Amino acid sequence: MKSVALRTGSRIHPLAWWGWAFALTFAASATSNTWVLAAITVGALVVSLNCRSDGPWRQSINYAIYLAVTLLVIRLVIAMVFGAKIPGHVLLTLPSTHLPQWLSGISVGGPVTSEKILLILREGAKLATLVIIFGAASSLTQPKELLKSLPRALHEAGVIVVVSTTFLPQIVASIKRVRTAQRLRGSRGSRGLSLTRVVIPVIEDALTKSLDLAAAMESRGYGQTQEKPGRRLSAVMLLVGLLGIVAGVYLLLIPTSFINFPWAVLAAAAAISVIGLWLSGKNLRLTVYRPIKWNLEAVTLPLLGVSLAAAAGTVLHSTTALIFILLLACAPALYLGRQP
Amino acid sequence: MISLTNTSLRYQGDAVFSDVNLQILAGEFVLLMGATGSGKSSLLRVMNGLTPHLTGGELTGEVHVDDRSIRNLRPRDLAESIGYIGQDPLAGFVSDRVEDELAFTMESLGLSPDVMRKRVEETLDLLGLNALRARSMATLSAGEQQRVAIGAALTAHPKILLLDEPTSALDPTAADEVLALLQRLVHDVGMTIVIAEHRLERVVQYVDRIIHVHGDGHVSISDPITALQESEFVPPLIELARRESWSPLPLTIRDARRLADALRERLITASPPTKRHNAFQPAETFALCDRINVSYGKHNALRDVSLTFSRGTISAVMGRNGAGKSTLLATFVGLKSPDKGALTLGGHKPSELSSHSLSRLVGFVPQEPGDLLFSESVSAECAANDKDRGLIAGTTSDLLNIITPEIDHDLHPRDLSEGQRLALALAVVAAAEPPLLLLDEPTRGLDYRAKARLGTILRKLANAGHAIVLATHDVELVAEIADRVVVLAEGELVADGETEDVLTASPSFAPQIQKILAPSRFMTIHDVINAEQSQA
Repeated sequence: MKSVALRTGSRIHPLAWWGWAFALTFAASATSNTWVLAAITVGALVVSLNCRSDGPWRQSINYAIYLAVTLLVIRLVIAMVFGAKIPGHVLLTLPSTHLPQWLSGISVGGPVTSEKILLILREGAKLATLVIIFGAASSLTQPKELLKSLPRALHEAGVIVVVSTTFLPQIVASIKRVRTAQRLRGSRGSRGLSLTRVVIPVIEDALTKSLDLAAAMESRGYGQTQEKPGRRLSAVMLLVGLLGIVAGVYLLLIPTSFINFPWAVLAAAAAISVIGLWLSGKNLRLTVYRPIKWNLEAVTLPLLGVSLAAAAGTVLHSTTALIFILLLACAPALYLGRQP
Repeated sequence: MISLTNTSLRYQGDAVFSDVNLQILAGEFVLLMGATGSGKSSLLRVMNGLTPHLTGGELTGEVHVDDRSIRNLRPRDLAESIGYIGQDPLAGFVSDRVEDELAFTMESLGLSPDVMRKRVEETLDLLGLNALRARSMATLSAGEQQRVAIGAALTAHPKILLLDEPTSALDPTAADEVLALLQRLVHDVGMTIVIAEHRLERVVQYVDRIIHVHGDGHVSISDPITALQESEFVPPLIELARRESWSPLPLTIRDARRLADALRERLITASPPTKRHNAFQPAETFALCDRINVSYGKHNALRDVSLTFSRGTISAVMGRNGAGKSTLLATFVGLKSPDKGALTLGGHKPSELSSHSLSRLVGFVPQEPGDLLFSESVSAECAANDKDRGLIAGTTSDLLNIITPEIDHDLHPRDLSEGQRLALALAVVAAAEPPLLLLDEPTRGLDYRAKARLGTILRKLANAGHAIVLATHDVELVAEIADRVVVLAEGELVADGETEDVLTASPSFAPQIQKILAPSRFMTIHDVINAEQSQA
């Protein structure tokens, strides 16, 4: 097995990376200039490849690249076969068929022009860019550290996620083990039968393991400081707040005649939620080991993102301006340097 | 520090133990011993309230920990006074990184980040874990995992540690490390420690007192010598000492050697221990591998290993955790195919056989016998096995009756004791009479009686013509039953020979009797008895 040393030193606050990524997302969705999109994509790639963290999630940029390319190819194929015809320089002609009368709106095959391919690529570029930005942000942060920086009230949810990420691989290993053992028992017969043969020992094993885990967590004081008065009140407030937000969004999107102040509903609901979160956090006496601090580098990151968005939105798209945008997009990599 | 007054535990009307009265003093190192299923773990868990809080059952009487009654406290409220480490440390881990795991208890208790950081550093130093601090849990060896689990409990600064079979999964060297660590905690830090353990030969020399759970509801506490004089479960050292009426009863090899002069002298003239001979003639080679290499990705798990296993012999595969024992077994059952080299089972290559015909050549009893079992009752399990393998109805249950006659065929396999479950799995696998039988760590959780039983069963099967291979850390079991020992280290074969030659040559694998009687080569108490009988 490969020994994975997970790095902790000199960490950037995960929310700083997500703030940067959010600003890039905003810039990408606001622009329609393909060159600006290309500059943002290159920036996200450069930063991710230089500064990404250790651990399995560092691979997420690779998957994002595959996903983006796959999306572009699928769009291209579908549009080439079914898309509307665009006049221009014909590159190749696909065999076409005539569809029955009731499908006359759709054409299949026919000539493919270079103009058409360019148009499709430009349309797809925005989606691909967003995918790459998301992949870059995931590769730059560790999900568990993100959970650590959530408000204390969400601590429990965070622990559930952390525990399940360590528990699931154990279940997978257990399934593998039991399948092996059953195969060597010479089990034959219908598939359904052999499924129960694997499922029953695996469930038994999972139950035993979760009881062990429960015993371990219980004896290590998990939940000792949680059941304080006020917990119920905060839960009710959170619930009311969330329902209020849903109602507010609904009212905002689908105006009704009898309640015409959706913004007020939203604001009130948001306030109730925030108070609820604060209350339930206040009742928890929990602490975080080696919390990640907001340092100068971390504060600069979202600012870099925002200035990129501003530049992409306002500057005239000359070559100089594009180079400036590209530099801004790559800035975190230049600024933070290559991480070990 | 811990006191139980008239404590009884009943589980669905059945008494696990009743009217227990005992006091454990501050700074004591106490061992809990008893047969498998006697209620050792339950008693251990009563001390921090996990029983009955988590397991149900009816607890009466008083339990005081650190001078306060724990009647109305939950185990989580006791986290600052008692640390508990379960049987499988990996199952109790919450995070994936050593450092975060150490901090988890303190995070739950709400300690300030400064205090947490300080305690984590102290614990890393105390347990020698600093080099592992950033490692992911899955990459640790079993011994390292056990040490991290102990560290994770220590960061809350408890006064008491409870450990359930901390060494059962460890090789002799790693077990010694863990026990030495516990002893240091008792001596240097003033910790009170209670451990439940089957492998008495590893532990008795370290402990101050022994709690004996008799299994009939009766529990007694006494000093080690008294407890071991009376107990029916004793390590070979004590068995020899009791037979020779040595007094005071020696608990360490050193003390026993001082008392053994007369015995050694007597045995000098005795004929050397009779070599175990293969009762199955002719000893035909059934399985062989020739310079095989097996790898997981870039990691070479086995390098240039050549071995043969013949019918009628019991071979033991030994070595550190991670030395390649499990990989070797996996290769023989066709789960891994060698990158290089040849492997045959009775002339066939396992990778070219269907799983059904493979299961006629080789049987595998996994570390968790429960992995094999899926039926509602023992009899249903046996019937399903007969049907699967196309055996005459009743074959499996007949074999099971030979192996363990007293097993209740109406019980659910999960309700059997560890030893009985292993016997059932063994019967299920051996019913098809595969010439090669492999067992992975069969003695985990077995007491001395169950182990002796297992030895007899395996000998019977070997005499019936099976080639038996067991991967194990249990030196005493190997000394007792194996004809031949194979030692692996770092994926390479470092020793292969008759049990006597291999075990007596190694300081960590030498059995207790051999250590006492060196330089003569008696390995078990039976060797000594046989030699004396032939003398007389």
